[in-house]
Amino acid sequence: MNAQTTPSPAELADRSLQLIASAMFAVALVFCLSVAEFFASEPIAAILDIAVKALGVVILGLMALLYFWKFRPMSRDQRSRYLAEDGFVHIAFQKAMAKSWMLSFLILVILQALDNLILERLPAMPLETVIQGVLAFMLLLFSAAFLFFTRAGSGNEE
Amino acid sequence: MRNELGNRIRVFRAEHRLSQAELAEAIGVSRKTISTIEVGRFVPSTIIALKIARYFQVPLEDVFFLDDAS
Repeated sequence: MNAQTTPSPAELADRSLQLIASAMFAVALVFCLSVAEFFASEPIAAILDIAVKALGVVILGLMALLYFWKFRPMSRDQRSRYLAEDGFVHIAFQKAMAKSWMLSFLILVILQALDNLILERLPAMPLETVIQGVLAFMLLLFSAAFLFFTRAGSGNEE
Repeated sequence: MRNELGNRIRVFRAEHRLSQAELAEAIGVSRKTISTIEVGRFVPSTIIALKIARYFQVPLEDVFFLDDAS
């Protein structure tokens, strides 16, 4: 019988981080849809509302699946050891976090400084929508940064 | 002048007839970590570098070296 090789804990940690990054991108999309709801006409907003809820359930389901299928079987020691692995994907994740936070902070400060040029031209929005917009922007920046730091060309497969 | 970290992991792997995945498994990192170190895209932590050298039973300087790039 051809034995299926199980991934090592380090591979598992890499895949988990990639999954978390993908989930963050999906959450960004949810926030984008929520912002779009504000601008859309009533029938489209109703459809978007359903899409937001459905996507939210899918993301939560995937995260729960990841936790119960991959992490729960690991011992606490194993979990902390491998999630603290200082491998390529782990470092890329940390770099993406730091760089995207800095960039979003910088852009928000610039937007604030140029409020009469850009912000004042935007329609008045409820605070909730503004927060959703900022969250979407930060998460999208993170996803783009993570994709950039883990982009292809990392070495040949054997 | 800029110093870059060079390495001979590929050479040592070839001598030991090891794949990237096997080396990764042996030292407890992912294959991507090994492949990115090999091509010089990722500078490993001291711990990973020491684990690689210890695995091949050679001093660290035999595996990693400073590559002077202009």
